[in-house]
Amino acid sequence: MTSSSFSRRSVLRGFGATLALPALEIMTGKTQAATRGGTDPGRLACFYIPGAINHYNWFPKETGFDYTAGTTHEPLKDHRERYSILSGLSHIEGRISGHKHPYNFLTGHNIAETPGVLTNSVSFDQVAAKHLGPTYLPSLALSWNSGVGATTLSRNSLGVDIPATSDYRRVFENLFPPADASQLRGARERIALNRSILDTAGGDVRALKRKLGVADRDRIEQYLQSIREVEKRLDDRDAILKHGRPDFDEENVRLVPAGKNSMQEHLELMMDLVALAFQTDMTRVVTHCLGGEAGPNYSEYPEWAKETGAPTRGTHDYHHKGSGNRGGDNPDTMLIGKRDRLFMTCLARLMDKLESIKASDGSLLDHTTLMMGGSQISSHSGSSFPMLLAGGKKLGFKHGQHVRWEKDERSASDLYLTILQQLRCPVEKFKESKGDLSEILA
Amino acid sequence: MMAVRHLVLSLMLACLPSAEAAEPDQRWKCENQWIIALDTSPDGKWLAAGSDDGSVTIRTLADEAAPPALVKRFSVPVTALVFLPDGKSVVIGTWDGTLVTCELPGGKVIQKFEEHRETITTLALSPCGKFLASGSADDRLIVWDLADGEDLLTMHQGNEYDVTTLAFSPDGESIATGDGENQLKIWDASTGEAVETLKGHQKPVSAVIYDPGGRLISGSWDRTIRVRGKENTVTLAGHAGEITDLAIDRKGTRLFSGSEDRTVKIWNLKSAKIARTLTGASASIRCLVVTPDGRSVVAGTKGGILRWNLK
Repeated sequence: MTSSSFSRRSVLRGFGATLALPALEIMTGKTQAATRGGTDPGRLACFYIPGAINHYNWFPKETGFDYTAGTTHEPLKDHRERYSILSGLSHIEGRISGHKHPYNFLTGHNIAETPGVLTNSVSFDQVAAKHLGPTYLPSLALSWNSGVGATTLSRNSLGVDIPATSDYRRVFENLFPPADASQLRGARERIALNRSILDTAGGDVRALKRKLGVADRDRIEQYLQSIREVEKRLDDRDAILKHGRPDFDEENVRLVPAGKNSMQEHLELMMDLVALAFQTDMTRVVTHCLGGEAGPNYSEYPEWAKETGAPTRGTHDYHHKGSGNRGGDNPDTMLIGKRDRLFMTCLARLMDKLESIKASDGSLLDHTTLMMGGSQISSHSGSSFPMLLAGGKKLGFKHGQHVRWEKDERSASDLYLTILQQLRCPVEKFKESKGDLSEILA
Repeated sequence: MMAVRHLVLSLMLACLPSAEAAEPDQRWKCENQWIIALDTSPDGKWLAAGSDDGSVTIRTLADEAAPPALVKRFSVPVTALVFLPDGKSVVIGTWDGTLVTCELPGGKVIQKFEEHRETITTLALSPCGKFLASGSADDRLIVWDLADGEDLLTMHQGNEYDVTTLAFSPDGESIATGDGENQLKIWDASTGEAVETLKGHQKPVSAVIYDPGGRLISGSWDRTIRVRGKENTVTLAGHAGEITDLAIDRKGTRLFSGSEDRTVKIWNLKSAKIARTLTGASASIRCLVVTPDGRSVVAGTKGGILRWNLK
């Protein structure tokens, strides 16, 4: 029995007992690189906070390393040296207002510049995905709802939405090669078929290209480039399929939430899958939209309303009423503070998990960049982002601090560029970046 | 030209002196609760109330001292309710999307409407009393046949911003909805087709009703009420907080608006002026209902239900 296949259930079976055991170190396992004696690559997970935040509890008054954390970040107290709070960043050219913030959170594109037509550009997670492979899945887009538009954070190189999913089983099934030999054979046959279709399409397009003018040739070249990217991904996928499904504790992967419509259950299940995906190295890039601007109406909201004395409202209304400058003791504001704390509780839990997984050197958390933030302090305001960066010690990040930049001094694109470069992606610019954020580098 | 007329009228109305204020004639305490939904029975004898503690209660309006009876308790807040025409049952909607008809006073569930996936935000009966319309945070409006519980029509809001409010037109041929994207939509009640999208409010639309003459009246978080006639739109401004609910008397002469400014205002629809301001609430007004005889208005708020007798 290898350490990575050692499960709590197998222990219980061994003793013939039904008691739950505490998590033991042996169960937490190692990364694929640590198991095989390789070097761990970088990973990236980006989480989007919808609506707005309780800014009274989010932003520390002091900057630097001796800041006093707000109550929102108390759940992260055991990870104080592994995360930083970043204030004052935003999209400058891409500043928007309204309900469309998820569209450009990771792209920085000004989606409002062409009224009536929503255009976009590549999200920085997809730039990372291009360079951080090969993996079975180039990236994973998770959300509160399956779909495109405001439910997903990821846009491909043409700015087109990459569909996100909220289905735990679908995530699990897509994340790993089939366990069954005949299904594995079928999967490889599908790749062969897709490759032949691409070959045919590519040949036709190359023939067409010779007959076109300069402008159309450029457009066709873009198209061919995307075909080449897909071809490469198919090759990568095929190579990984040959290895079959990695060894992990499958029986203990939770895919059914215990509660009905619970935000915490949803986030915990998704974040467990993120940890599993990173540990088994099936993907190195994840985006996760933590909720919509107007929903879902999770079951925690009425409980929080009772605790704070806020009236029962829909999620959209809480985002409006709970943000802004109505005072830290306003019931709606306190309610949003409770939601923010839940996000941090889930993030702390993910960090615990990643920290407990041994990497080639250090922990999986040391090789993972976690970014959690949103586009709005007050509802509809896009002028300063609440941002938190965690993990990535081995990637060169310096944590334990609150860094504040003046308004429009630096952009979110500067942060994205910094992350990409620390992940060893060969990029020198992202959107409106002016350079890296040296303040957060060791 | 039309826009200028709206602006001038809005400014005129905003500058009107405060009308006569009035404290409630009756307070029914509901400790540690927000009353979110209210309705009166068609004969005006009973008042049903839905609370954020999950309870639905019913009380007689004839005896103010009589204690309320608990009809049913849900595990989540009750977010909408409406009496059926027989006066012997109520349709109840909840935070988690449950939509049921309960007998009165025992609370036995006699019909379930199982389609909505999220919070029931608003309910209305068709003028003929045969159909129920339900709006939800799942961004859909569904029209149900009350005879057999069948869902006859499903209208998709077209955005992710909740159906916040709805109303049948007096002839029953149209349904108006409001949403969190500041818009009103008019739907054909027989086909489910979206007929018209109305803009103008600057913030989410929180309440919509029709007057007996067919004018569409909407209230918004932008603190204004817009009365849309065939010829023009009149904007009523005077609240210092977001409009939360609207009600109208049967004659259509008096409009009632509840607000987060903790008041209910009575508007004379002919003159478009504030006739009275009803005060005495210690928190936002969440819901409003006018008794069928037009003699009192009842409001739900934090900690209780308030009743003002009208002249």
